Amino acid sequence: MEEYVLNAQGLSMRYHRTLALDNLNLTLTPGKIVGLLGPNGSGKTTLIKLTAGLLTPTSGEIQVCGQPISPATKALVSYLPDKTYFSAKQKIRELLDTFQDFYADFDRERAENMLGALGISLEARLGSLSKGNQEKVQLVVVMSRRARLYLLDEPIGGVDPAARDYILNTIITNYDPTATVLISTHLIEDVERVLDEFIFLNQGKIVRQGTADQVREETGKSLDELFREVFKCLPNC
Amino acid sequence: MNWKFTGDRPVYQQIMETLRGAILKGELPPGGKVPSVRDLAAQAQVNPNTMQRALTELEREGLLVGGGTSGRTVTQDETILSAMREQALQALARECAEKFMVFGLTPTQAARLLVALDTPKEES
Amino acid sequence: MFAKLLKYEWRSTKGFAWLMFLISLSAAVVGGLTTQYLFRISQSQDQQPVLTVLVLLMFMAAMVALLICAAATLYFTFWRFYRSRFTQEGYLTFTLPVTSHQILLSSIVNCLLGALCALGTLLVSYLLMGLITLSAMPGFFAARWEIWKLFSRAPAGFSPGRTLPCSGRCCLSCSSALYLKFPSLCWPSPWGPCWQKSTKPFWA
Repeated sequence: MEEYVLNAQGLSMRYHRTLALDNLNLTLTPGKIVGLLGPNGSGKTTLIKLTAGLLTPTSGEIQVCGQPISPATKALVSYLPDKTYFSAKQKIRELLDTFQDFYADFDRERAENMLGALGISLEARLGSLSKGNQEKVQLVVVMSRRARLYLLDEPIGGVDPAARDYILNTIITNYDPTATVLISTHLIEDVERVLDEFIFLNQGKIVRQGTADQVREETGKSLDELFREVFKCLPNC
Repeated sequence: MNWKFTGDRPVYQQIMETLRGAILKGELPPGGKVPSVRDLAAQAQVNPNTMQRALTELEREGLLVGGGTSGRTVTQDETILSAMREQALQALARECAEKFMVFGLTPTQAARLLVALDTPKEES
Repeated sequence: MFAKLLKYEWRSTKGFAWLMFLISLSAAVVGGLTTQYLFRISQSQDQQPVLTVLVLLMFMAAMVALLICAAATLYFTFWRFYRSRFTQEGYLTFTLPVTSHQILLSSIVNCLLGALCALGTLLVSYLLMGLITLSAMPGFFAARWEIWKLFSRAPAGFSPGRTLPCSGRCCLSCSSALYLKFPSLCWPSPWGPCWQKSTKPFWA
């Protein structure tokens, strides 16, 4: 049996009164680009944070590459949060040093090449870059790791179309048959062509799962149209 | 190659059509090398697995050969190429006829319209 | 891995600590020069009330600056502790492949290092101030050997040693030790070549 890159069984997460994830069962196999799609508040970020080791589940279990969440799994998971997480006074070179120190799978040469292609100097301070460039730098360092599981939380929200193209291109060219990329987004139209599989999440539960091409073959609709149908906002919602 | 996808059909089928079109137009000449899966996927901005599926299907049809370490090449077999050309033209004709049908024109009437388009060239 | 964590935490702190140290030294220089002036004024006949008050204010400002620098260094390390755990930076900190115990320990050690820096800054600044103040006093220079003997001995049974605060004693004994070793360190006061043409120690 192929080892699952992510294996969540009966996963639940409760924040005080809110149930963010409700008895979720999910497995991800290697070599796929998977879209975690759902409206705001559906539990996408919670699932990603649980996998990254930032949260502890209320119940159920979650494993990455067959191991429970621990520093060892953190070394296998590359996480891109929706906001930038570095200190503004840091130089880009220092950020690369940090990644190189802590992650054995960090490909520094690749990161430097990508930053060079973007025209971003290594001596620049992160706070002096524009928001779009900051997010690109963060994407570059995250994708320059040869991880087993990439968790991208809203990578293309809030950036211009050219930057979106760049980000999706980076994801495609970084493709590795032994790794899986989990992209959480609600901008489905842009991301649809890049996805192998998709998961529709609503109120902490999986409502639909499958491959994008399957949806088109079976229903003649794109994933974006299907999403609108499934998550149609009723007048009184 | 013009990579524009619609939302109603599977992406891999649309990729196959685009590639067939490229072969017909001569952008991918017979016997010529086909870019790698990764390069094509990056160009088309699609998932590499989807691109791989499309290329494998074309290989199965005989339009592409190879697929080993040296990469894929377009077939030089004339029968396959002319059969594909024939198929593509038939599909285009059928599509045209269907569109004209919407306006209540039979294929013959549609053909007359198309001939009329040809006339200015003869005059000049 | 722990050493790397510490290096990562310390990297943000050391820049600030270094800046505070330099500011503190400058404040110490100002403090020393103002003390020299105040002593000179107290010795001489001609009073310059306005200038004296100004210099006194400068002296007080320098003292306050010294304390603020030390406090700021300490506060900065606490702020770094907060920032690396409870703000957006926490996303990086807590996804590093280390245990949460290691993260906590490295943050605490960083705070301790910051505290040591703050203390060190204070001590060095006071020492510098002492050096500047005392070096311009000719009596001090002449009597440096006696001062060194006086203050490096145990205070038991010696009143001058007991009345001065501990840091002041350290200052004086260290200064006199330095001048014993490097007599050329003594430089003339900017307020005049000599205050008193006397070789007697100033307290006599």
